[in-house]
Order: sequence, then structure tokens, then C-alpha cells
Amino acid sequence: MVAALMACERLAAWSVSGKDMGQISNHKNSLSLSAGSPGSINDHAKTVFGNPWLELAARWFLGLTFLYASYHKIIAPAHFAKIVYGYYLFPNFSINLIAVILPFIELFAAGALILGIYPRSAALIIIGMLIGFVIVLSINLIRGQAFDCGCFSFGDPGHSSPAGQLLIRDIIYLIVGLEVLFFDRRRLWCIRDIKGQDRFETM
Amino acid sequence: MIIILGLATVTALTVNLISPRGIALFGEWDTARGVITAKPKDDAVSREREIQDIAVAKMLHDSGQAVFVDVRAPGMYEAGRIQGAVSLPLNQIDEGMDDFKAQYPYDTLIITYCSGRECDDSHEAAQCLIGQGYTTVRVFLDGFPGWQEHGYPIEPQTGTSTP
Repeated sequence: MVAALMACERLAAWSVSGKDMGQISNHKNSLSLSAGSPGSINDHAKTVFGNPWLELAARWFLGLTFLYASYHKIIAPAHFAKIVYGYYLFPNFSINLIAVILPFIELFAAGALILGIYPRSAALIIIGMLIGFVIVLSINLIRGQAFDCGCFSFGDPGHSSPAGQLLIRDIIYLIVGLEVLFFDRRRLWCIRDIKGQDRFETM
Repeated sequence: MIIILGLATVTALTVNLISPRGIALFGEWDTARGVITAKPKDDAVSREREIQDIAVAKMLHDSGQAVFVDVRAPGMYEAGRIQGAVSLPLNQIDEGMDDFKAQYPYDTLIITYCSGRECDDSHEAAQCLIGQGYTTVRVFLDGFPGWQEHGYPIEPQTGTSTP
């Protein structure tokens, strides 16, 4: 896999055309010229969020987080189904299907982010799920509803997860996901990226 | 994106089919029918064991022939329980089983209960007791909340004023 990644890196490096190099050079010049000007904050933000190492960190952070999250759901689908039921939002026929399929979507999207296989698509899936979670949590927060069946099979009886904390956490993940989604430069440690392919093809 | 979603869906359904922890594609989530369950392959929930009619549970309680077993956490048991119920928390059932077996013969009519129709601990405990050799184990599916709502006897009694 390491060899594949190195090959990918070399391929991506070769794929940067002369036009792109010119753009990078112009970009550097504009950065140095714009220091202190009204547009400098915007340029600085572009530099920070356009940093490939930040994108890589965001991708791996999100990937590892969702990998971990999916693991617990996959090994205990009945438990997760009860959590889905506990939102009191989904029709009965859909609860088991959500409990079976959703964790694997998380797993595959997480794997794609970590390995760099179609990272933009994977980020889009993760963001879609996070928006769904945020909506669901917000509805339950507004309703003031927290599911607690008082049973051991659900965790500690009398304990329910605070929706507010979960909501803040998911919004943070959402911001990280947006960094991966809107990153428009060459990605590091990437096996297959549509953006990279396009550059190679337009040489 | 379609590739990721497609692969995930096919893998999910395949793993669920072969995994011993897999669940049915459609669970039973209607509390009107009984205790909710995702219907896993090792499902402890058995409709045959459930006492659907709370009046039947009350009749068995009053007859004195049945032992009501509270499988909730000790704190919940202490806070309020069906009158005369014994505590056997599900998470401590192995530790408490020897004492329980010494006290109650295997042909005792046992009725387990927990927190109602969204709680399947009573079924888990019933299955465990049957596995230990108890022959007549039933599940009172409305649990303590249902019993209390009907105004049936509970302990410790609430509403008593102290001087």
C-alpha cells in the first residue's frame, strides 16, 4: 500500500501542469503583496485552509472517528437499533434497516477518507450523515426528549446521552468535513482522487 | 459516491445475514404488541412468556402463588417496586443466582419485570432463569411503571407523612 501511495504521489506531482505551476507562483506573489491589505485576512484563511497537511489531518481525523463510531454499531446492531428507535422519529419498518446499513456506510466512507479513495465523495456522505444527525438531535433537543428505557441492555439505567453535547460535537465534525469537501488542491496520501485525475488528463 | 454507498449496503446486508449477532431486516417496534425488539438471532423476547393483561398479573400477585422478580438496577428497586418483589438485577444475575435458587424451588411460578415495554431486560432474565432450570417463568411486560400507574400495591409506600 505504501508503494501505491508513493506512486500516487509521484503521479500527482507530475500531473501539475505548467499552468498550475504558474498559478501557484502567482498565488505566492499575491500573498506577499497582499500582506496588510484589506484582503489579507481572506488570503490568509485561504492559505490555512488550503494547506494540504491540514486537509490530510482533517481527513484522517474524520476517518478514524467514523471508523471507531461504526465499529460499536456493527458489533451490536440490536443495541444500535434501539438507539435509532429511541429518537422516536423513524417509521418502525425503517429502524432495523438503518441499524444494519448506516454503520457500514460510515465504515466505508471512513475507509475511503483514510486511504484517500474518492475523498470528496466520502466527505459528502459523512457531511450528509452529520447534517442528518444534527437535524435529529436538534428536534429531540427542542422536544426535550431523551430516550432512557431504564434497561441494562441499553447501557446504564437512568442514563441518557445529553443531546446538546452531541450536537456541538457533530457541528465540529461538520466543519472538519467541509474542509475535506471544499479543499481544491492536490491532496496528500491519496490513492484515487477525481481532482488529481482531471489535472492529469488536462495536461 | 454511488460506489461507496452500494458497496456499503451490499456488505452490510451480507454481514448481517451471516453474523451471529445479525438482526432481522424488520424488527418489532410497536409497544402495543409487547416488548420492543430488533429481533436478533439470539432474541430473548418471547411473546408466549409475556403477560399482556395487567389484570392477570395483579391476580397472580394477589394469589401469592407467584414470585415477582425485579431485574432493574438496585437503585431503581430501592426507589420503588411491586409489593413483595425480590431483586435480581440483570447485570448481577450470575452472582445472585445461587442465593435465588436456594430460596426458590425450580417449579416456582416466576414473573420477571423491569421498566416496561421498551425494556427487554425482563425477557433476558427470564431466558436466563429458564436456562438454570426454572420451568414456569413469565414476563410482566408493563413492568413497574405500568403497575404503579394502575395504583396497584408498591413498596416502599409513598404519600405517608412523618411526624
